[in-house]
Amino acid sequence: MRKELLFTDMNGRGRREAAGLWLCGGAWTVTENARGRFEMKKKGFTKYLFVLPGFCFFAFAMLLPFFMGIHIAFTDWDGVAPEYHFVGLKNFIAIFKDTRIKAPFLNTLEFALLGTVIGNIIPLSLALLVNGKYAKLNTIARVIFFIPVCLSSVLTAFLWKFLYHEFFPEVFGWKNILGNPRWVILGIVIIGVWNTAGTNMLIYLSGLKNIPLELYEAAKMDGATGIQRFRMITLPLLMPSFSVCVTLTLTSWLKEFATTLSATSGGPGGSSRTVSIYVFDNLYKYYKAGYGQAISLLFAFILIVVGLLVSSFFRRREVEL
Amino acid sequence: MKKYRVELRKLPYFLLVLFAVLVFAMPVALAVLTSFKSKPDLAKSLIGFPDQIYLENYRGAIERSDFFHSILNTVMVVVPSVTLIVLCASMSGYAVARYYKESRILMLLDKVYLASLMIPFQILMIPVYKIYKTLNLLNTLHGMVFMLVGTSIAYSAFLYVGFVKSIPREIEESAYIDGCSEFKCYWLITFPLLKPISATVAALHMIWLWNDFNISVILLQKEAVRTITIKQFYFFGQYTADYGMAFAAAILSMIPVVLCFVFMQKYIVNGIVVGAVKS
Amino acid sequence: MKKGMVVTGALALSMIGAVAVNAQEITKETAVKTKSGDVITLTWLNHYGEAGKQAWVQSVKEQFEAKYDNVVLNIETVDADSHKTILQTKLASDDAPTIFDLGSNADLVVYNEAGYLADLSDFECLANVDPDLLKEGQVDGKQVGIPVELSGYGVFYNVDIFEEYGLKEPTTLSELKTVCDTLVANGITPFATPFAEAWAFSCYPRVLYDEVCWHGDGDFWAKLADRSLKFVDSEDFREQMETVWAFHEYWGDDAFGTSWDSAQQIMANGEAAMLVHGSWAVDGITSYNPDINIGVFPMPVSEDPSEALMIKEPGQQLVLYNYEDEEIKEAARNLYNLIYSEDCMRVYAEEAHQMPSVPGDYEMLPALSEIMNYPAEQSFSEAGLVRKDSEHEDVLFETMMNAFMGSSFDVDALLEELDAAYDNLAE
Repeated sequence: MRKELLFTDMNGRGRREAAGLWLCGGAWTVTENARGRFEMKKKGFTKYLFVLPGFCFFAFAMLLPFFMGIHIAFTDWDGVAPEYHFVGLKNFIAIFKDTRIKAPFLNTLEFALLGTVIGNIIPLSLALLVNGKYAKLNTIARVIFFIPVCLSSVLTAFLWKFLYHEFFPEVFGWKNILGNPRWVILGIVIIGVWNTAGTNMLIYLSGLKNIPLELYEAAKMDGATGIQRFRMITLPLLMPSFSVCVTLTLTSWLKEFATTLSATSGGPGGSSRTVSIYVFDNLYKYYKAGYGQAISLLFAFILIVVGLLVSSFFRRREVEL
Repeated sequence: MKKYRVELRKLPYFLLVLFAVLVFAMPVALAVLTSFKSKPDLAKSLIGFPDQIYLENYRGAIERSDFFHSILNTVMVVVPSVTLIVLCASMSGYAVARYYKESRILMLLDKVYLASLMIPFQILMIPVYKIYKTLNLLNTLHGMVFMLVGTSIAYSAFLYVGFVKSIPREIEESAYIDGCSEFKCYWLITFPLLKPISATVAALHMIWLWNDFNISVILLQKEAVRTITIKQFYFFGQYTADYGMAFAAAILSMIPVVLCFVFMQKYIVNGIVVGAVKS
Repeated sequence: MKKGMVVTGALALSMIGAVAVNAQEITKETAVKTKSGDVITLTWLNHYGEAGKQAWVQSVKEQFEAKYDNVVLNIETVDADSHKTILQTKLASDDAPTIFDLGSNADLVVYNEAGYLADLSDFECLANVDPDLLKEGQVDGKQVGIPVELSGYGVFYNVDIFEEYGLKEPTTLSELKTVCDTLVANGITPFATPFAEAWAFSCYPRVLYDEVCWHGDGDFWAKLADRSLKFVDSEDFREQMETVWAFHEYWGDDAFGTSWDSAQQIMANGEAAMLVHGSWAVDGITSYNPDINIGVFPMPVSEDPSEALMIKEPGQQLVLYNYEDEEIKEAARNLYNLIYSEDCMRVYAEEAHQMPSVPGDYEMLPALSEIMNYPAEQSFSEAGLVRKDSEHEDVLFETMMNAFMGSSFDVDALLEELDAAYDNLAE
């Protein structure tokens, strides 16, 4: 009873408090809420102290540079000259006239789709596989699944190029998948999933470990089958892991750059070039920095919308204990 | 007799694990094999064992990458960064997860963090370099730490948010009632409960930062401060790649991270049993 | 609380550690960073990752610092892929390196327009460099860059295999076809084809169209870029594209799945006999098989032997940042004079296995000295001619690659597609 009261109280106060913090650095909160309990006032302010250190680093490393660089998108800068001129929205209009951008855009979508599906199914299966009761076997398997994560994406691409180009053709007689415009993206997704499956496996695993065991025991006693237990307990309680893994896998594939650049440089014939690679080419190869920045800004905007939608889809399904 | 039957039923499970292990281990095994071959050996056969184990790759890799110095630099950058990330991100994630419903700012922050993950690093490069040059932070390891922490906060806070939610509020609330202060309560009760995810965040960032290339390549341009990852790229020339030596260097630099993971995973896996705390 | 203390302690310690290491670095640095007292620091940003080239850079540094005691040469090596990025980042942040590499004349034009490049016209070392190559480094009548090396493009082949089957260097297309047929009959892949990588693929068609189209008209690429010439209207280009396809059955069974590294390996172990590529292939193949005997001949383009030309292209150029300071310029002049001396280039020729831009009496890989001394009337020097810019180049390579990847080839479709793509770029 007491708890419920406490929360209603806090909910009602949120907005004013937020405004107050912006205006007076928090001091205002205290006077405004003087009629509330003392404990609560302190709480209202401390929650911002909790995020402050992290936010400082974040603002310094991400926000500041981002806003410093934004204006380039509205200029004709070539990336080299000390001077540039503002050209308004010309770069953004040019994006829609550019026939070269269509292929990278579609490729990126294909990467995102394949990467997100494969990049979550496999790690989740691995996590379930090593979450069993065979302690020794599971430990060894976990370490082995995780070892690829220790290789940087560039080295991974080199290693797999070696496999695709030389090992598979020689041992299994398979043609190089990276040389085939239709299958090259799948080939790169396999590289990427091999490289990062350990990460998602770990996140799923710590999600699995967080599920109270007695829930399973209770379900067992109620006569639920393994599949039922998975559907009714594991899946819903794994939602935090899903929202993290799906969102992050999706956005990292939408940003795909390093693995592809080292594995195929966007080839063959541009069939694996992603938007990020195209941006990079414009920034540092074609002397069209302004245009490159405009594409990346527009694309970042699309990504933000997609990312927020996807994460709120899963976040809404998270169960709070 | 009964036990035997149970084990037999589990056979597909073991085969499945074995298969997955093979698939994941094979490329690494091939890299290890290649690292013991000389270039002519490599041209002769890819999978065959070399006539003679060729240690020259490892010697060359250690020498040309100034291995011990670069590893030290990497450690100097990675350890403080990971510590800061775990501290800052866990607090951020905790505050966001617990209070986002009543604070618009935190809700916005959650979204800003998520949005920042979509920004490609290439467009930040020139501004970052400018800031670092102005502040005299170029070619310094602490400058590198600031950057690594700043670019990792959003991701790790995002990880924490979901997991804080899975920890019952009742535990903290009972502590508040006992008159515990916010920070004390967080340190004593919530943070230890976050151990599995903290270990995950730490292990992941340990590896990612260890392998960071984008940031170090522009911020650390002096030989004296270069990390092992940048040095590895010396083995890839414009037209030639020395696979043997490159893999040797990669394997050498991988060993500390793998060891670190083996150590960390105990914490990830043992985890907390929330139910036990609750009852 | 204990845990918190431990963590905080670890954090504090590691931070102190990091700062301490840095403090040490900083003090080391201030001694050389600026022009303090009489010490002048020059920075050379390069992307020479290969062991031989690094040895060359180191030897330059040692000789330079030994010869002049008031200078320090600071070497910053980055990988080839990040080189352009870092260079642009540094320039945009007023932190330019003193000396750096640029590729073609087109790059020089961009950097010169931005006002970054010093005029090297009165540098003494120009006298040592092959005068033909120097043309590539000239912009608006000024010498702003000096090529370090020369690259050759042609057909590199396994001399022992050719001898074994009594083959001679072909000079016409039909002779080349006979050579290929003989090799196939003996179970050897005629061409190693590293077509998985666009740049490596491009070497193959390029020898053909450069020898004919560009050699015939120095403004060929410029005209195509400004659209005063269309691909569909160039008979020569069409013919060369058909020649490329005419040999596709000799490309091995997975041409577009073969990487540059695999191509070097199958050349090294004798699975394939010929490789249409740039001259760095010689060093690459030899490193996989030190005993191999590599020869080179110009790619035949017709039935007329005199039309087969060895392509010579200027390679990386060294440019100097445009400093006001006379002292720095003077130190740089000394450095240039040292780099472009026969002594220094000997290391480049003999250890890095490249063809230096300074002619001299070096002990080089036979194929390389053959290219360097190839008779002028049988060579096509691309120095100083207007090239394609990177975007036009990418579009050309990609479109060609897509056209040649299938099981059939439609030359008209290719030419039309190229025109459409170039029209789009021109807008």
